[in-house]
Amino acid sequence: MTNNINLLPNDLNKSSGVGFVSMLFKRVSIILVVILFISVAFGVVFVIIQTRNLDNINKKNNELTSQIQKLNQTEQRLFLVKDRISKIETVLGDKTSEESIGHLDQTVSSMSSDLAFKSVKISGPATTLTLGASNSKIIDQFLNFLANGSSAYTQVLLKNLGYNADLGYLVDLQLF
Amino acid sequence: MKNQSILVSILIIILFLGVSFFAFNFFSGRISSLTSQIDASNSEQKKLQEKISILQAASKDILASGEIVTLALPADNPMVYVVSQIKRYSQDLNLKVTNIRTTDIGTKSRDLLKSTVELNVTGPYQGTISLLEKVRRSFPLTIVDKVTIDPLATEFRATIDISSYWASFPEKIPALTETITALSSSESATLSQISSFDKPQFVELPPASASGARANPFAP
Repeated sequence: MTNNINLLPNDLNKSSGVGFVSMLFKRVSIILVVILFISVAFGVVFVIIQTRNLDNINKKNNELTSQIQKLNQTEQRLFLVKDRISKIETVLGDKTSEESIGHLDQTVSSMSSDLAFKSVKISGPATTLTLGASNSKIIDQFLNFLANGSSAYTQVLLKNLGYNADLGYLVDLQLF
Repeated sequence: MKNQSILVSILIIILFLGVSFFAFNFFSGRISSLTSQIDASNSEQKKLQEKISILQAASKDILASGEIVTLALPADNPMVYVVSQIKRYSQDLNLKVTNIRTTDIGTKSRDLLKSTVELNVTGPYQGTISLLEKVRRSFPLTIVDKVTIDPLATEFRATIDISSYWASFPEKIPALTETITALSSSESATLSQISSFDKPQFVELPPASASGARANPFAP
């Protein structure tokens, strides 16, 4: 009959369970330390690369900024042109009387020589025209022309039609 | 001995967790800050490149355009030029201009000031219409507000109200990194519409010649 005699001190007594746990912890801790170092290394490399990228972008931006500063006069001009044009558009949006002048010129130039031009008043989109004629047929023809032959006015109002033995027919028209 | 080894391993693991926590915080903060800075710089770069391409494209014609729009809408009351233009056209059209009077100064809209002149023109009917046509197609920009034409014995007399406009120049330009847009199609159309307008004729005084220098009155 054989006996296992252990001459080692008690605290060094071999225990297979504890040894396994110890070895496991040791390995885990080594792996974790390695992972930590690798992660930190990756982090540092990434930060360095990104910092360089940022520096390069900023450098390029500085070059672009200095290019823009060289084009400063053009920028000022462009800004001025845009500012003026927006205001000019506001002014030009109000040209109603001017359209009426064009329409009047077109109408008067196509008027019969028998029609006497008495007066005209243009204010905004409205044109008030006073004409004289020796007979009513001429007035009739002119009104017919305004209503059917001309596209200058969308509305023709006969404000007054009078007859005087000395002056003939007198007609007041309001045109829009 | 084994217990000590386990304890050391546990300490290393705890240390690992602590260091990992701080490292993660540090790197994630740094990386996110760098990423946002890179994104901001990239978008700034895009804006700057766009701005440069717009400015380079605009630089060819912008000088002439600037002159045109400034003549059309000056920074000061242009009534003197308007009256000068009317007088010049009237002379060309054999019209007589009388009773020129500036009636009021007001505002058309925000930043846009308006001044109105009323005048009488005597002459042939067609000449008066031509004058109005010329005035409306000339610089400074004007609007014919009201026209009354009455026949006289041999000619016509017109009473005309004309408004002219002005606006102070912008005092600030946008920041370098602020985007700027090229002229839109409607702005270009407006510019080409007014480009053919007649410009006021400025009289340029010749510089005094050296031969015409005044003599020194203190010379012996």
